[in-house]
Amino acid sequence: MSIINVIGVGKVYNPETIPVHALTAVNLEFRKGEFTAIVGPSGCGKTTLLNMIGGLDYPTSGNVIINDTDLSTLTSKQLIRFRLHNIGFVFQDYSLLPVLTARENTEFIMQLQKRSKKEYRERSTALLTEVGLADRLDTFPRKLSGGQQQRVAVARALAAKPQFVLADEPTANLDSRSTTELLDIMLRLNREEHITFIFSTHDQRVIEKARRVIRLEDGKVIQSGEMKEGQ
Amino acid sequence: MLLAIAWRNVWRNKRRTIITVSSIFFAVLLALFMRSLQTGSYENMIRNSVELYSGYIQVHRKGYWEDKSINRMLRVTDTLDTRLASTPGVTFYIPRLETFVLAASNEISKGVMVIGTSPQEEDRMTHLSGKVVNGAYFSDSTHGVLVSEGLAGYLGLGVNDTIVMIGQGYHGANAVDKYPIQGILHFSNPQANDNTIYAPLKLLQQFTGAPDLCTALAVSIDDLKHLDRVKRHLTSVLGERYEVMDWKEMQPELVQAIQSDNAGGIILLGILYLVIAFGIFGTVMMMSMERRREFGVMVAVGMQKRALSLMVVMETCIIGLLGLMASLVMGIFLLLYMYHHPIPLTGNAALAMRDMGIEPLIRFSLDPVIFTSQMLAITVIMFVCLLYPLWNISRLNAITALRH
Amino acid sequence: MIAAISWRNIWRNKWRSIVIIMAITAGLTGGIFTVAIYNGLAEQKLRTAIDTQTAHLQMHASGFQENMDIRLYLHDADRMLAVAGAQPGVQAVAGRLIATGMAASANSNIGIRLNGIVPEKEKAISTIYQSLVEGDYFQNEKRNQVLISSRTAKKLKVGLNGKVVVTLQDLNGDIVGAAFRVGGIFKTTHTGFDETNVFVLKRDLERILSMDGIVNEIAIRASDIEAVPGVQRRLQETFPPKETQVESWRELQPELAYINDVTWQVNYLILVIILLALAFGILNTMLMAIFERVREIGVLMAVGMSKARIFSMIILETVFLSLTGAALGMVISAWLVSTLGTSGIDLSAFAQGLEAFGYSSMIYPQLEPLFYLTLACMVVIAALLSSLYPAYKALELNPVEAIHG
Repeated sequence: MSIINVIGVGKVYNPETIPVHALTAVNLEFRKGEFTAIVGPSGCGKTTLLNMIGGLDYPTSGNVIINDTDLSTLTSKQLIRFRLHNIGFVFQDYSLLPVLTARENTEFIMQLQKRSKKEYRERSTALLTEVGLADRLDTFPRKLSGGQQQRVAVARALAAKPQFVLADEPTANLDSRSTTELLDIMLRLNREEHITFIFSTHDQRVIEKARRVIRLEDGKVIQSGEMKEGQ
Repeated sequence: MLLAIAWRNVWRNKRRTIITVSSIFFAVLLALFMRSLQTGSYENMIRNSVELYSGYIQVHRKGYWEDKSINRMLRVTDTLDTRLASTPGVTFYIPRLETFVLAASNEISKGVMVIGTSPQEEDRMTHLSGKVVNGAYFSDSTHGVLVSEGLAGYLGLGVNDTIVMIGQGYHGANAVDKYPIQGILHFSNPQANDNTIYAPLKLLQQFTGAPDLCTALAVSIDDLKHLDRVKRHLTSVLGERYEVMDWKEMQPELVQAIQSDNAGGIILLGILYLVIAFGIFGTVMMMSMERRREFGVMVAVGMQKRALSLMVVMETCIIGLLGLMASLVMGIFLLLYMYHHPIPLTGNAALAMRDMGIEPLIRFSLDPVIFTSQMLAITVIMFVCLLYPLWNISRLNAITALRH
Repeated sequence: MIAAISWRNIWRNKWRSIVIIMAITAGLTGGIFTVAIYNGLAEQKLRTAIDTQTAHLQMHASGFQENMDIRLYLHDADRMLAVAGAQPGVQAVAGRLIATGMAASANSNIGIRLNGIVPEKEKAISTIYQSLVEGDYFQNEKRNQVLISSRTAKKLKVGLNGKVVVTLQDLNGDIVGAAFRVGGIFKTTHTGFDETNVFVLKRDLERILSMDGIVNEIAIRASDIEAVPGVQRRLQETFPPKETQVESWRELQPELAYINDVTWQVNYLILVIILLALAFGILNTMLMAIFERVREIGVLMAVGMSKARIFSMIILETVFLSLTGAALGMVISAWLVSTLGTSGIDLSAFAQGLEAFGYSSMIYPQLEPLFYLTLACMVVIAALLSSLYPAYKALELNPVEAIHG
C-alpha cells in the first residue's frame, strides 16, 4: 500500500537571481512499513526531498501526495496540522525543547494533538521505555547524552502516531555505539510495529541496515531501490 | 502546558530575567512614589485653597466673580434658600459677605480682606473655631471680629483691643467703624494669615450698609463625586440672576498650575518608561532571536504559530507581571507609610511653598489611579515590545529557522 | 588594539547594540530636553523677578522690611545713593518711596503697595516700562498719575484715565487719601506682583504724605548677577547693619533663590534616574554579550590574554556602547535646545497656571555647554558601574571549561 507519492517534484531556489535546481523531476513511491535510506553526496538534494515529503516546504513543480492528500493544496496552517497528525520528525541535532524533560518532550506532541492526559501519560511512558529510557523519564535534555537525546527524539516522533517518520541525518552527531543502539531501536520498531522510517544519511553502516536505498545525485534520483525483506 | 513552557523559558536566562524584572520594579516603584507625591501635593493644594475657604461650589449674583464689586450682592430669599436646600447633594451653605478694607490701629494700617460669615456654618465647613489661638470664637450676636495672627502682629493689636476698619459700603457709601477684637486666628496659608478679618455676617452687613445682603454662598456638598451634578442642578434651578461656579472656575490658576506641574511629571515618567521599554524590548527581542531554530522545530513538529505566539505573549507577560507585582506590593507598603507620615518641609523649601499659599508639608496620595495607571503603562509597554517577536513568528519559515 | 576589538565586538550583535544605543539616545534626549526646559524656566523666572521686581540689591532702613512702616526711612539717602552708585560692579541705583494702602474705584477696592519712583532713574533698574500694555510711562508731566497692572485694572474696573482713589497713612498715622488717574497699564508674568504693586511718581507720593525728599528703598542694579555678592559685602561694610539693611535678591525672594538652587538638584536627579534606568539595559546587554562569547573569551585567556586586558576590553566595550548612544542623544538635544531656545515653545494653553508662579508662557529651553561635559562624565560613570558585573563574570571564567562548555 503506497502512502507517499512523489510525482514529478522539482525545487528551484532563487528562481529570480541565480537559480539553484535542488530537485529535478523526482518520482518516488513509498509504501507502508518501509525502512528507507536516502543517500548521496552533500548538496544532492536529500534534505530538500525530505522537506518536500515532510510538508515543510512547497515544491516548485510537481506534487507530493500523502495518502490522498495533495500537500500543495494545503494552506500553511493546514499543513502544520497535517504534519502534527501524520508525520514524525527526527532532526540531526535532536532539537528537543531544552525546558522540557524527556517525558514532557514526548507528551508535548500529544498535548498539541489534544489527547487526554491519561492517554499521553501512558503512551509517553511506554514509548520512552521502548527506546530504553524508562529510568530517564524526568531528566532534562542537557543531562542526557547525544544518543539518549536522539532516542527521546524518536519517541517524540512516534508519539503522534504518524503515518511515517522522517529523519534527517539522525546519526550524524552520534558515536558508533549510540548509532548502533539507535538503529536497532528503529529497526525493531519497523519490524514489530510496522513504523515507516525514511531517513537521509552518509553513514555506510546505516545504509547497510536500510531495506531500501534511494540514491540522489544533482537533484535527480539515480537509483530508487527495491524493498529488501527483513534481515 | 504552554504556560508551563513559557514559565520555564522565562527562567532559562535567569540573570537576564532578573535584570529586566528589576528594571520594571525600579521604574514602577519610582513612578508610584512620584505620582503619589504629586497627586498628594495637588490634593493638599486643593484642600488648602478650596476646602479651607472657597468651598467646592459658590453661588453669586451674576457677574460678581468678574469684578468682585460690593454692589453686586444677593439676598437670601426664601425661594433661594428652598431651592438650595432641596438640591440633592447639597448639605448646607454659608452666606458670606466679602470686602476689602483698610484695617488700622492707632498708628498703622493695612489693606485686608474682611469676611462676614455665619459663625456656625463657617465652623461646620472650614473648622474656623479650631484656628482660634487666642480669645474666643464668635457667634451671630458677637459685636467684635476675629483677626488673623499676622495682621494682629503687624498692627500691634491683641484680644480686646480695638481695630478700625475703613472701607467702601454698598452703593459707594463710606464705611468706617471700630470693633473690639474677639479672637486671634492662625492660618497655615501665609497670605490668609497676614490679611484676614472675620466678622459675624450681621455686623459686616451693618458696616457696609447692606442689611440682608451677601456676596457669595459657599455651598457644601456631601461628596466630591457629585460636584458636576450639583452644579448642573443649581445652574438650572437658580436661573439667570445667579452664577454657580465650581472651584475649578474660581481658581483656574490653581487648576492650570496643577495641570502644568502634572504634565512635567508625566513627561519625566514617559522618558523613564521609554528607557525601560527599550530594555524590555531588548530582552524580548533576544529571547526570540536566540530561539529561532527552536521555534522552527516547534512549527515543524506541528505547533501552530498561534500557539507559539501565545507562548511568547505569556513569557513577556510573566516578566511584566513579576516586575509589576513586586513593585505594587512594595509600593503599597511604601505609600501607606508615606501617607501616614507626610514629610514636613523646612528652610527655603518651606518658604517657597508658603509663598504659593500651601502648607509646607509633602503629602502622599493613595488614589487608586496612581496604581492602575502604572499597570496600564507596563501593559502597554509589554504589548508594544511584543510586536517584534509576534511579527517575527508570523513570518517564520520552518525551513530557514531549522537551518539556523 | 583592545579598543579596536571592543569597538568591533559591539557590532557583532548589531540589533541588540542598536536597541540599547537607541534607548540611551532616546532617554538622554528626553532627559536633556526636560532639564533644558526647567533650566530655561528658572533662568527666565529669575531674570523677570530681578528685572521687574527686586533688582539685584535693595537697601532699607533696618526694620522697614517687616511691616513697611513708613516711619522707617533712610535718613542719609542722598549720600547712600552716591556711595552705592560709585561702587565697582554697580550699574545703576534708584531711590524709591514705598507705601502700603488701599486703592478704590467706584466699583471695588483692594490692598496695594505704592511704589513712588523717579522714572528716569527707575528705567535703568526695572523693565516695568517695557511691560506696558496701554498708556505710557509717566511721559506727560500731569500730576497724580498711577500705573496699575491689567489685573488690578480688571478688578477695579477702571481703564486708561480712570479714577482710582488711594488711601494710606502718613508719617503721623493719619489717614490720607488722594485721587489718581490711570496713566498706564502694565502686565508682567507674575500675577502676585501685578496684583499688589502700583507705580506713582515719587514727588506725587511725597506731596500726599507731606514728606519731602524721603527715600525708604534704594534699588541697585549690578553689572552682572555674579557681581552681586561682592557689592553686597562692600555695602554692608560701608553702612552699619544696625541702621541699614542691604539685601540681595536671594534674601529678598528666598523662595526664588531656593527654586533656582533646587532646579539644578532636581535636574541632576532627573538625569540620575534616567541613567539608572539605562544602566539596567546596559548591564543586561553586556551580560548577554559576555555569555554569548564564553568560548571565545576562554580561547583569548588560553592564548595568553591577561585578565586585566579582558577586563578592560569589556569595560571599554560598555563605555563605547554607552558613549555612542550618549553622543547621539547629545547632538540631537543640542540641536533641539538651540533651535527651540531661539524660537521658544509656546505654552499659552497652560499660561495662566504658569504665570501664577511667575513663569512666562513662552519657554526658551537653554543649557550651558559645560552641562554636556558633566553629563558625558555621568554617562561614563554609569557605563563603568554597569560594566563591572559583566567584566567580573568574564574573569570568573575558567579557560578550559569555557572552551569545552
